[in-house]
Amino acid sequence: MILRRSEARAPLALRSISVAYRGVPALWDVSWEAREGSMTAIVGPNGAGKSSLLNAAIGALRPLAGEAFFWGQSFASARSRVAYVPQRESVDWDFPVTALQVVEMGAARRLDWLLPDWLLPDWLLPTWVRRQEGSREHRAEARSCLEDLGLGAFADRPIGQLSGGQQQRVFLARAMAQQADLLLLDEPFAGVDSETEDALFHRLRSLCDEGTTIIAVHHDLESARTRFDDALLLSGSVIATGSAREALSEDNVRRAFASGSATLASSDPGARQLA
Amino acid sequence: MFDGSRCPIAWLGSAPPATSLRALPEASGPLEAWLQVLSFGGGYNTNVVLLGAILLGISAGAVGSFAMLKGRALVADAISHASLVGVGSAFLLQAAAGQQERSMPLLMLGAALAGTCAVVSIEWITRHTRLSAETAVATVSSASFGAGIVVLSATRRVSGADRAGLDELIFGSTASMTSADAMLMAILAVAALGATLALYRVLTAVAFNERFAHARGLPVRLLDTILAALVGAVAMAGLQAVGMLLVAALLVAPAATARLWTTRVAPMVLVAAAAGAGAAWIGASLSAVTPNAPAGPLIILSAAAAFLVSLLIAPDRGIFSGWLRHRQVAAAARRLAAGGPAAAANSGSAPTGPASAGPASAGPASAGPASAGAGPADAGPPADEGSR
Repeated sequence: MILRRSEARAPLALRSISVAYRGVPALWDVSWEAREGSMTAIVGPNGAGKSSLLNAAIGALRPLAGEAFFWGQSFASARSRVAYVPQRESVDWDFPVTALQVVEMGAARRLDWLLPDWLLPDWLLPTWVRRQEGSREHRAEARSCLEDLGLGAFADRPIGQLSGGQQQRVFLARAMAQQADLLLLDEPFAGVDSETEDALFHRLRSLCDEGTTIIAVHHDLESARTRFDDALLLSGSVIATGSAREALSEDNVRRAFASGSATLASSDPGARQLA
Repeated sequence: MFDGSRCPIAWLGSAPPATSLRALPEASGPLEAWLQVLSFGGGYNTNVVLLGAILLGISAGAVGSFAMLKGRALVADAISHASLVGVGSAFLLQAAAGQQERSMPLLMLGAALAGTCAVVSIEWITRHTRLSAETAVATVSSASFGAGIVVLSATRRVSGADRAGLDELIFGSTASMTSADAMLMAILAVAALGATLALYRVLTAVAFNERFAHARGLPVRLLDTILAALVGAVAMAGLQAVGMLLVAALLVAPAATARLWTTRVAPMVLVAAAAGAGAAWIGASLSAVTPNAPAGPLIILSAAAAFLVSLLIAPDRGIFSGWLRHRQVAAAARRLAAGGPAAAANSGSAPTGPASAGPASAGPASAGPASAGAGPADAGPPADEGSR
């Protein structure tokens, strides 16, 4: 597989990805590259394939065709550098787990999954298998991520007792605990009040300044324009890309939201550009 | 077309063969006899069976917890119904081959194969259609039950001497269990328990958030398969003691009981294991001292009783505490509506309103057992002020 130079560098490069659900296309021929250290909003009408795009990129959904590269590698090899935050509704919030335990799942390293500390303590392991960081350290790390998002007081609460915005922040804390270079967020601000949204944006921006690339499915056009650097406007296929202000111009947005599924019918990009 | 003796339904409904252990001659009354068995004074064979049943209960509780958290609690039901088909077919094959003795391993193999088929079809339907997992399980489960009855009615036409063996597998029979059978059951149960504990973290992660687990590189499909295999192992282990029709209940009831008392996975698994062990201990020992009382149903009834009691009295999630909380909050709301300035000042910090009347887990119920006695001011949804 020959990669273009920009594809090999980009934190996420999509090449001609198409996705269908039982024969009904949801995404058609999407090619796009994320800019390192930027914040990108994926915007589009309902059913535009925004979540499908993220899921196809991480291989949770098998695309019909096309490939996704993370710094030029497959997701499997770049996995440890990528954190994925699913939609809040994708989880049973009555699950018997505390906020801190959820975040610890993000902090856990490969070996911890199979050999939890209480089952096989570190000092019993030969040095070459030993965990790089003890799980006590993970707990501290997880706790500091929670505190970072203002949830320190809720660490030991069952997640079902948290409000929607708090649950969303727990998910974000879990992603931060992964210390990834690329964050893929699926509707991170759904059900979040504006004050919390401000705080979250602030936090994401500071991560971004440290070099993390952030790609978020976002539903609000206004804040997508003002708060994100770049945008990917989707409606089954790519309508516009580029800086958030340009890509989300009135004209582009009207095309994306008016066309709906019609965009898929005429999957010839040239024709759409002229329209 | 069916006369009474041929009708498989009537046959299933008829009384199972005598399946209790012999009552102990030296005990004076039924209660003393029961206490004697409970305290492992019932003789070698009884003790082996009792211990085996307890191990089965422990592993059923632990494995069942994960099956329930994964939303696949009823897969056990499908497996056990399918194993009816497997056992019946294996029996017919054996009869066709002219073998006289019933071979337990062969019957188990049949059950295991059929159970695998059931699990595979459920997973396939769930992944490749838009039907919910629940629908897939229900369809496969009842279809297997139908097929099982057809196969079993066919076995009725084959000579009857060894039929008793089949009945034992269906209704469970501790009486006919040899200590070798009990040992086999114990080994299967301990293996399932060990695997569950070793995989505790990954199973939790996959059950909680499959997509995240996938993104972190956990082999989600493999773990699904392992969990199904563990459920199958418990079902096979319980085949003789509890019977295939009831083994699903042994996986579900202790886990459901434990969920009422706990808010984390690890305690839940422990409580479920304890509940399963307790039910097996009480049920099997009761059956040992009661003439003609099969162990399986008694074990399940004990588990169901534990669930019922928990449902009523469990803190936070129980019916009684819910009712109590409702009364407190309702009284506070009425005081507020009555509108004395003092009352308003008192509960001014509880502007919960109808928004907090959402799902029990997000509303006032969330105050948790610690603050169950506290006033309504604490009962609202956790406030966001704590955040920045």
